[in-house]
Amino acid sequence: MKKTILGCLMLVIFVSTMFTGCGSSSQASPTEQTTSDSTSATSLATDSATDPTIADAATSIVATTVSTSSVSTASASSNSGTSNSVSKTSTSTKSGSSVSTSTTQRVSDVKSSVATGAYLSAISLSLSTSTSGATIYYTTNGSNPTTSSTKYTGAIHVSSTTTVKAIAVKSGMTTSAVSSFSYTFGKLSGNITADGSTALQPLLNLAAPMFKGKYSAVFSGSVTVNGGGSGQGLTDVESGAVMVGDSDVTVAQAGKGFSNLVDHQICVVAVAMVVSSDVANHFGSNSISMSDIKKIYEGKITNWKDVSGSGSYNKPIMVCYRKKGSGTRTLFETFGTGEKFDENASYVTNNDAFIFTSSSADLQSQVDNNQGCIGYETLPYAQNMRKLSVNFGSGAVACNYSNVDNGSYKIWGFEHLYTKGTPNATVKAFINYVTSEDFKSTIVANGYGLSSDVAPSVAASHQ
Amino acid sequence: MRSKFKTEYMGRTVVTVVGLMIIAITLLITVFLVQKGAQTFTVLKYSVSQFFTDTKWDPFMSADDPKGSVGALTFIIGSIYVSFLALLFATPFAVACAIFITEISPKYGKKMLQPAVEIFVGIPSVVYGWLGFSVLCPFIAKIFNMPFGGEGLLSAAIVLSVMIFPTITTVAIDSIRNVPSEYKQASYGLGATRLQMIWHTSLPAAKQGILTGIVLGLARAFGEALAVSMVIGNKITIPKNILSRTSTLTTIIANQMGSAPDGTGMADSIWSMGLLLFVISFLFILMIRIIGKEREDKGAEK
Repeated sequence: MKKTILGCLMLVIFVSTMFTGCGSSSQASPTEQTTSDSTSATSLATDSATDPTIADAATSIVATTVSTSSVSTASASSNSGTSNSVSKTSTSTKSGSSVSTSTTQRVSDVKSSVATGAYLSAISLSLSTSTSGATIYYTTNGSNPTTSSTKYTGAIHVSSTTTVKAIAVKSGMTTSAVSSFSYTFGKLSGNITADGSTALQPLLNLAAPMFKGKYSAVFSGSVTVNGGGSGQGLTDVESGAVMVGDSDVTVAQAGKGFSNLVDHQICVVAVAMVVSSDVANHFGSNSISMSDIKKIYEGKITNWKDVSGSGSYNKPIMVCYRKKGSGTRTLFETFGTGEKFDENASYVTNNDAFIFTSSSADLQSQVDNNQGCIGYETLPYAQNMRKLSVNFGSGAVACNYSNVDNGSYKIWGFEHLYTKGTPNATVKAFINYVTSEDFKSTIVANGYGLSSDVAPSVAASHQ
Repeated sequence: MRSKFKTEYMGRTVVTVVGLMIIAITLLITVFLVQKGAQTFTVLKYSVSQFFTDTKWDPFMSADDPKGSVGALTFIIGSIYVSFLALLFATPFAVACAIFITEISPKYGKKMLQPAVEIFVGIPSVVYGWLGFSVLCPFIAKIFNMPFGGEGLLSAAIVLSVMIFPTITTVAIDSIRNVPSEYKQASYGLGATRLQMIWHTSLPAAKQGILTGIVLGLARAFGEALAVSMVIGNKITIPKNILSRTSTLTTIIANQMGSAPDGTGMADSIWSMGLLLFVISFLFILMIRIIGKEREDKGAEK
């Protein structure tokens, strides 16, 4: 009798787990198809109709382009895109789209007529920027373009796996960020496995189905992204357990044992100071000084009333910190307080107000569900949390990527994908996709920043 | 001939190979753990006494870091506190429950209560942890007026006691049931009430079995990581009182393993703690063996 009841129970549990298992796996089906190339080509055609100027040099180049692409079986739409681009002047695209360049003195990023992806036959692409009068330089060997690189004069013909990188230059304006477009030809074999940083995991989880959609013509394997922490990512990629290790810190910061790893920077992530809503409501100025943050994490300030800007809010401060080796904590210590937090210090061990949190999500729930709480959180996780601006010494700076780019907000870092040695074609295609122009909107929409937007001087001094 | 091979030798070979494989795997795990766990002391040259007596746990995590120290005393004490506290809460309940099921209401107990207790065993530890985190901790914070949330030793011990209680109960039930009915009848015959019979006859006779259950419960409490880590607060501090946040050997492994690059003091000291846990569980098994042997000897005498 008893056994029958238990047996039935187990059967029910088993069946229900099977069903939920099916449900989650079906969600992972790819959604996007590689149709965007033809649409962008047509939009370009209408653009160029208003611009009748023809450069002689461009004509000759494109003439050869057309003849070669007629050998390969390129689609009709991309052919017409090519021939239309003849009528464009090489160096400039006009037709100023609504994006105004007057707010920033920077040339708009280069766009390509053909989206990053996998193609079965040769393609021709044209590059453009919405800033009129700008000159485009590009490379096809993967290196970053400079003004001494090839000058863009007409459609580029691509028939083998190539990454086109381009910049737009105009005198009197800041050079645009490097735009990268990657085109893959031929079958991609095998699967992609990645693990590591939990800060980067949400973005890669979004990238996986998009990549599979774009490359469905040549890639039928799986993309698996797991968490585990930056240290684990580096360890696993070094040992060969995964093909890609995600990390918030560089190999140099992580230390010994990682000699063969190749770095691929894919985006930047900022770390915001987050507080409980009761604290945020009391902060009239909405800004906290870095010296006060430092004192809070040193246990020198224990009540919000002693923090300037808090509106004399009389509430003990609950201080959340992450585990040793957490990428977020490393960034906070390196670029925020500038000193290592010591959880063995007596002001931490003897004070119940210091709270250990084991993950980003854990810290978020502590800050959201308690009162008087402060913590540090990467922006993707902090998007819906109450954030304080930080005064680094010269006025309050909000935590956003324009402040990161111009160097006024200090607590941020690059997100890295590490591979052991040079990655194989499949992994390379994935990394190219994640760093390509087409993935940028996803990066921005999910609380990450574009590494190409960070001012070079800021990036160079951010060590 | 062929059929004899099928019926006799093949089955025997398969069973023997599987048996040998299990022995081999156990040995391999032991060797691997010992080799990895000893690296802290042999390769990185931390002192063994520091590991067992120092409370400062700050091993290096990258080549640039200072060497730091690997004192694991905090976690050892944390583990001992939390599991013995859990045992303290769980044992009276478990034994009382076992007595109710076997002696007081055997029919109802066997039909309803025992299956209910067995279902307890099947609940995943993460569910216990989540319940503890979202229900128990706020409740404890409210009762004791803790401004920073109720995670700590007490919460962890209560959650653990719920988890180990079915283990102790199940083993205790078996051993009380196995007390020969002549003992009980003799006790009644001498004029004992039911309570006197249970207290003076059943329980002493089933003592070894109940002890085995308690040790098994203790072993589970010692080894549980997930649920404990969700409610204990995970601070690297020796608990000052029953409400303090602290860490155990298992929770520090669970929390730190993701950010411990291979070859660093962090990774190796985690291996050492894994080895320590292995040794402790081995001691528990040895204890159960000794208790079981005593029982056998006693049975033989009688």
